[in-house]
Formats: sequence, structure tokens, C-alpha cells
Amino acid sequence: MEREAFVRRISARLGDAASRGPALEPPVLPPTVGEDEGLIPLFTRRAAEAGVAVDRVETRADALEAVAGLLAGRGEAATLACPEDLRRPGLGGRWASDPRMATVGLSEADWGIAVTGGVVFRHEGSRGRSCSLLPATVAILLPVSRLRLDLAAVLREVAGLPAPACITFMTGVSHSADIASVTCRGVHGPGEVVLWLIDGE
Amino acid sequence: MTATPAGFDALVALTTGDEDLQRWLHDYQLDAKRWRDAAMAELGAPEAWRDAVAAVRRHTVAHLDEYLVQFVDKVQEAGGEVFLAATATEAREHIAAIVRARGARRVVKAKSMVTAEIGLNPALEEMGVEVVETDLGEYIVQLSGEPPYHITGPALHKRLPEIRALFSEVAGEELPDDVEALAAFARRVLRDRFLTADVGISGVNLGVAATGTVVLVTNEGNGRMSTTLPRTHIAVMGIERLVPDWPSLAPVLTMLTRAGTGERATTYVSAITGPRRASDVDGPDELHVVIVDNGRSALLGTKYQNALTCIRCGCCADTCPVYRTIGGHAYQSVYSGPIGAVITPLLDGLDGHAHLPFASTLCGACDAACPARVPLTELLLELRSDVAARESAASSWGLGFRGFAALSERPRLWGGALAAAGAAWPAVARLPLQWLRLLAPWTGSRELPAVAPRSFRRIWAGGRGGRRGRGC
Amino acid sequence: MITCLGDALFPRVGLAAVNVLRALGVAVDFPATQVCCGQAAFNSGYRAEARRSAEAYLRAFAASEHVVSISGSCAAMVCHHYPGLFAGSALEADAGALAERTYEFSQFLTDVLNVDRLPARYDARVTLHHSCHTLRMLGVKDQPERLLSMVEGLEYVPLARADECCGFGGTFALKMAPISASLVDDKVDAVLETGAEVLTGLDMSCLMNIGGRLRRRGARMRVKHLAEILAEGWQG
Repeated sequence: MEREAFVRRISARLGDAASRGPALEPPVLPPTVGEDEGLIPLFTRRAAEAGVAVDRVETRADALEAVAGLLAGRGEAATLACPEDLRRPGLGGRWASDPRMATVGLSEADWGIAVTGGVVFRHEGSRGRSCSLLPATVAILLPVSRLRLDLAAVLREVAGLPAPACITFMTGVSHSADIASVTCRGVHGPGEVVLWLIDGE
Repeated sequence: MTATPAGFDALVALTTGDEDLQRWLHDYQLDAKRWRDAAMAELGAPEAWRDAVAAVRRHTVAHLDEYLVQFVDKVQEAGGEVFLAATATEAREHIAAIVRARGARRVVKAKSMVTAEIGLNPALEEMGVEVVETDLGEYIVQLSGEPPYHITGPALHKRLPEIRALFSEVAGEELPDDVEALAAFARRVLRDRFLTADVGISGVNLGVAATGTVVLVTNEGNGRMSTTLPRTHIAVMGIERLVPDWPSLAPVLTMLTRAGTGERATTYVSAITGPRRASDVDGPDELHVVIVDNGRSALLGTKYQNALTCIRCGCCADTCPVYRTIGGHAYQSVYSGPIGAVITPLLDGLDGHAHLPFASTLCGACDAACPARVPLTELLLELRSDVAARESAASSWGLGFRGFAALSERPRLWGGALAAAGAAWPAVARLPLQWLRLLAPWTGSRELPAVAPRSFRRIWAGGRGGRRGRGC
Repeated sequence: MITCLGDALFPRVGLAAVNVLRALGVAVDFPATQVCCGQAAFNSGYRAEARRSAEAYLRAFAASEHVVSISGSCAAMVCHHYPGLFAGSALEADAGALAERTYEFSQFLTDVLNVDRLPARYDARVTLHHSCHTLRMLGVKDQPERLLSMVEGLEYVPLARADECCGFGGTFALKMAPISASLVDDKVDAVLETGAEVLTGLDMSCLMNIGGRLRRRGARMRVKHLAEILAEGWQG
């Protein structure tokens, strides 16, 4: 249906502005965690509960070394896919040209959410979706300075930036309980997620 | 009241007669409650969160025209195309046209109840297109040729041996008897479909009006796969599934998951705004958003408006004693459980569905759990009054209630009726009462209570009540 | 408020409630023009018919300072639905006023009379069914439990899955009998699991439903409204 007619059908039913109820007030929601609960321990615990292996390192170089170690541990043929800007010599040089074929996908998260143990990726330019989606094992770098308390805190910052084609909020590992109500992992998305919290940044 | 259609009675009997399934569904509800309660308790003040969700959704629906216009503008600004479908037919035909124009042979679908509502799959299949449901539960019922059983758990009713048989048939060999192996098989098959599909079709859990963003949630990753790999993404949504802006998304998304599956968050939430940008390394080349009315706007400005604030979390079915007894298929609709009993007659008309609002004890468990505070019991009661209003004057229940209303206005006549009934009861009770059609539904499984020889008012009038001696 | 069901089938319950209230020093009257709150008609979609019964109720209780009901669901009908049923009519204020002063029995004892002690003894193992309307529409949950805890010799065993409906639902029990039968069976299973000798509650419609199934299954369990337990156990 043509737009004006479509919208007019709705407007006619809703009546004039005066009868529709008040403007939306921002919700007043009490905190869900204690004031003294530190973001790092909360995030680490909640991410682990969601099935993510979390490690904390001092520098980015340390994290990349750990990723290289992870890759090496996966055998001779193991390859790594990651966005251009994360490629460093320290990563072992076994690049997968196609994330579909990679053993491990590496991405850097834009934010971490402590309450859920999840991370957030703004996908734009070379920071694509595939590296955190297609390989069976996904590695994530998260600077500690990018930790936020909850979804509301992240969305406030998201709202201050132009919306890219895709933002992914990822919490834990792919799973499903659709087969006889038994939970299994790695159904379509990655079944293994490893994360490094980088102190220095 | 309308008699229940034969299909309903048969489907109910299928479930009530299956002890295994009854236990399965009851256990499922008890588990779901445990997880949901824990997830809610963790919020500290869950009622405040429910108030927040209700406020966002009611406000949005009350201003739906404004938010829709904003949403459409923003999707287009981001490079997406929008189609406004007044009816199921318009939606179906438009989507089929896109699929045809792309020369698509294979379509992957992430879960979308509205596409089932508009009958999309058969229409595409008729065109010779292979449609693959990628949500594991939807994939299972697609293979078995059944409708979905639950809003978020389409294959809830399927036990392991049945699923093993379905997957083994696709595999062409006997697959192992364990969940991991079956999941691995599904992953292999569906991964191939994702990588080779021409078009990805998804639903929309929520649309953000301020930015023209469509938000999809899954635990499996099929939502991300379907909307990243194929070159064309078609997102289908009901007109009412909006929130005003990013901040208002927070309480709604949080409660969708905590109430729906008892989790803090689904594994994946994709917030998609337009197709990929020229410099993006991946993502679909085009995004079409198809916005479907199909009877929804008719509820606006009526006593049913708040039915549109539902966020499709499915927790009402998880709390419903009727749902666990009759199962999802008995609703004979895409939507099951309490919200199904409400919106099916509202979107599709009362004909054929007039019994659904009566398939409830009005226990209120759904009201107490609904994260958006949809007033389900109240909506069911309104539907019942609409059904009663359509009845012929000769309906036996109508006549009965009119007679009883008259009696209730005549207390002396009522007292006389009680006296007569009390006197007649001993003789009546000795008769085989099961043949009395009115009472057979009761006496089929329960003993009847006795009519008291002397009614309360008779005793009261005789001596102001009270008994001396033991007790008081 | 004796209710139509109470008047016809369970006068003992009404009498017990009257006696307990009197023993607690309350002046109790039974306005004989009361017949029915209109709940069954309302729940079946017959609002005009429900309004007729409800109007008679408004007139019957017009002079009552408090209205105490032996049925939680009937009290809930008045408190929860009467305001909406009479909205926009000449009786709107009366309906609101009646809703304000109507209570379920246990609620009246604990919340209005502030009973914290009961001279009552009842030597039995007792379990309690919380009726859905009483629980969710009136918000009455602790009140009956507290009263039971004040009775000497009474061993209270909580019912598992207590928030699950017993399957009565008024005319639902007749219109959707197979579903009702399945639900009452689940409820009876839970009741029997407690090993209690007595099943109590605040709503004779639920108790009649569960009791009817208990008897059909040959269970030797007594079914008593809370008021009956208090009245029978009253000392002095």
C-alpha cells in the first residue's frame, strides 16, 4: 500500500495528539548490582558463566602473543582471520584469506557489558562481521577501558554515534536447546569463545 | 458460547491422552519458571523493569503513526528499501517479487512468526524456490511438516527419537542417538545452505524508530548468518514492533530475554541499519524491510490496543496451565498460548476462533509474568463479551444467565428455589446423574457436591446462625 | 457475603465464618437481599446480566460498614471488576465504595481486625490451596498461612506448585471439561504428596473442584474452608 494511505489508516484510529497519552519519560531503574562490584570481576565472572574463557593481560602485545599461542596449539594447518587493522607480525602469519576457512577468527570489541558478560562490535569498513561469526573458534580483544556496566550504558554511547550497517551484541557461545530441550553449543555460530581483557588500554 | 470446533477437541485429546508429553510439558514449564524467576530476581526490582517495558511499548503503540513514519524515513536514509503491506497477500506477493527478481533458487530464513502468519513459505516453494528454515526448532518442524508449537520453541514437543528420525532421513543414513551429534549434523547441513543462499529472510524482534534499525535476537547464530552471507536481506515485521530510540531498547531487550528464556542476554543481537556501506568488507548488498499490517491497525483506538504491546517473548505460554495441558498445536494458529488466544481471533476474526478466549481458567498467571504488562486476562474477558454479543437470543448459556440474573434480583424467589432444591436433592442424588448432559462434564471426573438440606439464609432466618457447644 | 454457592451448597462455611467473626467481637449481619456477585455471568461474557446481579449486590450491601466474603474469587469480582463494570454509569461511585470496603475472610481477620492470636486448637496435618483469583487479584497469600500458624496442634504442610491453577475456572470446568479434569488431577497429585489429612482454602469453588476429584479417586482427605477449621477448633 502507498505510504500516505497506510499511515493515514493508523492515524485515523489513534485520534488526535491530545488523546494519546503523555510523552515517554526515561525509566527510573534501580541498579542491578552493588555499588562496590567492580566492572572487571563482574564481567569476568558473567562472561565465564556464559561459556567464554576470559584472560587478563597487561598489553596488546601480550594479548596478540596469546592469540598466536592459541593458533599454534591448533596445529600446523590452523589459520587465523581478522580485520586488516589487527594484523600484526606477532600473530604468526598464518592468515586465512577467507573467514569461512579460518580455524580462529580474531576481532576487537568496541565495548564489554559487565552485567551480561557480553561484548559489542560496531561493524564498519574492514571490521566486518565474518571474523566473529564464521570460524568455530572466536578470539576477542577487549581493552578494559571499554568496559561498561550494562546494556543501557552502551546504548547511550551507541546513540551518540552514527549507526553502522550492523552492530552485534555477542554474549557467550552459540547454543540451542531446540533438540529435546538439551542444550548444545556451537550450533551455527562459534562454539568456542576466548577473550583477552587488555589492562593497558 | 460457541461449541469448540472438532479440530480443537481432537488436538486437545491428542495431548491430554499422551502421558509422556503431559509430563514433558509440565517439566518444561517448571524449568522455565525456575530460570525466569532467577533472571528476574537478579534485576532486584523486576516490577520496575516491567513498568519500564510497558511504558515504552504503550507509548510507542499510542503514537505508532509518528514512529512508523520516522522509522521508514530512517531505513530509507540508510539505503534500505521499505514496503508497507496492508494485507498478508500484499506482503507475500512483494517478497515473492523480490525473490523472483533476484533469480533466487535458495532462501534461508531466520525465525519469523509474521512470515508464517502471511503464508510466505508455501508461496515461495510454489515458485520453485528452496526455503530453508535455519532456526533449529523451525528446521525440525519444517522437516516434520508441522506448525510451530510455541512462540520461541517451535519444536518444544519433539522428543529425541523423533528428531533423530527426521535428521537421519535427510542424511540418508542412521545418525547417532545423541544431541551433540544431531546438532553437528544440522550445523553442517545448514552451514552449506547459509553459504549458498541467494536471499536471507528474517523477522524483526524490535525496530528502532529513531535510526531505522532492525534488531534480531538468536542464540544459535542463524540470525547473523542469514543476514550477513546472502546478498539480499529481507526483514519482515509487524507494524507494532517498534521502540522509539536506542535508550528505550535497553529495558525491552533485557526483559525479552530474561522473561522469555531466563537468560541475561541471547547470544546474538544484530542491530541492522540499512545494507552494507560501500566500504564495508561484508554484509548484504541490499536490505528490504517489509512492514505488515494484516489486521493490526484495526485494534488501535479500541479496547484491544494493548494487545499490540506484546514483544513475543513467549513467557505467557510458559506460565499457562491450559497451554501445558493442550499443547501448542491445539490453538490452530501461528501464535499459541495466552497471547495466541487473544490475537488470533483479533487478527483473523472470531469465526472459527471464538472458542479460544474460553480456553482459559482466567488464573492470571500470564498477567503476573508478562514483561510488557499486556493485560491478557482483561483482553480475554473482552473477547468473551464480544462472543456473547454475537450469539443468537436462543443460546442456552445466554438464556441460563438471563434467568439467573432475574433470580438474583428476587431474593425471596431465590430462597424458595433453594428450599425446593434442598428438599429434592436426596431423591435426585440417588439417580444416575451422569446422563444429565449439563452435569456430565463435571461428573465424568469428579463427585458432585450436595445441595444443602437447609440453605444458609434459611438457617440464618431460623435462629440468627450460631451453634452452641463445641467450637464456636 | 455468603455467595450463591455458599448459600446453596456450603452453609456450614458461612455459619463458621459468622461464628468466628462474632467470637472476635464483630457485629455480623446477613443482608438477605444478597444473592450473587455476578462473577459467572461476567466471566462468560454476559456483562449486562452480570451487572443486574451486581446492582442487586450494591443495594444489598449499601448499609454495610465492611463486607466480608467467604469466597476470595467473589471478593475479587467486587474489588477488581465492579469499578470497571459500572464505569461511566450512575452507580460508579457506589461500586467503587463497595470495592473499598469488601474483604476476603482471612484478609479481614489479619489486615482489618489485626488478629495475631487465635484461641483455637486443631490437631491435624493441614495443607492449603491458594486460589488463583484470591492470590493474584486480591494479593492474599500470607494471610491464611499466618492464621493457620496461630492454631495450636495444627501442622501446616505447604503445597508444592501452589501457584498452579486447580482447573476450576467457573464454567470452564463444564465447557472445557477434558482440560479441567487434567488440571484438577495435577492438583490432586500435589495435594496427596503432602500427606495431609485436611485440605483447606479460601474459596469453596476451588475446594469443591479439588474435593470432588479427591473423592472420585478414593482419597480419604477432609476438605474444609479456613473458617471451618477456626470455628471447629475454637476454644472457650
